[in-house]
Amino acid sequence: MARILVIDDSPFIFKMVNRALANTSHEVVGHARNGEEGLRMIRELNPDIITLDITMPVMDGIQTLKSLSENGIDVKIIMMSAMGDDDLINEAKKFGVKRFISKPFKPDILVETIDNILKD
Amino acid sequence: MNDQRMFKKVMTTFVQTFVDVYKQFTDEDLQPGGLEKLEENSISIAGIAVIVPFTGKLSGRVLLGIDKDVALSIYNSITGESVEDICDDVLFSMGEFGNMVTGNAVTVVNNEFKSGIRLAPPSVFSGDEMNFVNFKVNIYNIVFKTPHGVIRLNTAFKEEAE
Amino acid sequence: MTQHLYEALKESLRMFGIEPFSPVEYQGSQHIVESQIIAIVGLTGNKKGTITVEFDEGAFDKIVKTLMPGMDVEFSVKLSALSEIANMMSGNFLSRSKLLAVDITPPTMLVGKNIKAIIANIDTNYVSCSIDSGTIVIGMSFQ
Repeated sequence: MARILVIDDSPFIFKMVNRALANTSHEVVGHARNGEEGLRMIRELNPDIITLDITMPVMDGIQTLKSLSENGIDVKIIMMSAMGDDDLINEAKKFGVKRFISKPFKPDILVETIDNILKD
Repeated sequence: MNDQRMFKKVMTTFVQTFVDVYKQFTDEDLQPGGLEKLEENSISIAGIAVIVPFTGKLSGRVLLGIDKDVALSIYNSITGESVEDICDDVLFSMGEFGNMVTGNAVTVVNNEFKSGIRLAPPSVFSGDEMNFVNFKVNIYNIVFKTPHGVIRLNTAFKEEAE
Repeated sequence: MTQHLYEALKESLRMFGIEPFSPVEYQGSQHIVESQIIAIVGLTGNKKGTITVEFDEGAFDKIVKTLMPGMDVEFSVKLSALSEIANMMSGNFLSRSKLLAVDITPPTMLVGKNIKAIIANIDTNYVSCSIDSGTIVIGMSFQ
């Protein structure tokens, strides 16, 4: 069972994640609409996993990864983006991200990715 | 770089991505109609319109014209809700839908052609009669029929880009 | 940034002999549009965003009468003048604001009544100004 924080400016994606995990043992503990809010909620909620969008206002996904690294915050990360092109993926990989899901995603892909990341 | 080849790839990729994304959202299969080049520089939309502009080796915009009932069907299918009228949440979800279609398609094209196409954020509109007009562009249209109504995939490319 | 937008509009209109006045800057928590004629320009690259330019009837008439005096032209041709102004203004804004690695997309014009629009659900800078009895409203939001 994992506690998951969704960091994504789209409320729709939050709903998608919630629905995908509704009948699983995993729990969605919160929704942050940008990286800055996400960092604050990570400190408050201490989730096991975050799903992290790349393109967001205020602080985007790559800036969030940088900030997590600089502040020594250890959390498992699943990057989510419709723009999964090589440059952004490579940028995220530099920060140690290994799990990527491209939007839209099938519910079972999200559950499988969560199950796999918990074994990492 | 063969721009004509890239253009064809862009169009086929947009259609395929559109079918794939729709299938993932609704579990329904879509049959695309034929690609037509519009003679006029405007298109009229009733329902919901999502615009995603882009720049790069090709610049222009993607416009999705979505019937109201199709939008509600997509939204309810994903969220498990039973919303019966267009509200902000449905509009946001259609923006995200447009973002996913164009984002995924552009990723394929960029990776193959190093075309550097970059997307602007989607804008969403709803209304009974909306006329979208572009100048100095070539406009292509494909109509997709769904059990709930139609979706138009309308792309405008700046003329010199083709 | 909003000041650059207004200066860019002023310079673009001046090329056609139109002098805007009474600029008012304000902010909103959403990027919305309310007029019947709207130009939409996307910003891509290091900063992604959207610029909208709204023309009311008075502004539309003033621009058309100034650019095409006494000419009987189709609505589409009139609209192309507004599209060109939106394009010039956006390009001028980019040079003034010194935004690096940011491009503008070709404008899309939207004409219609009773349209509900959500351009972005984020803080947005607006500037409105007058030309004769008409009003132009520019909105700009960055993702």
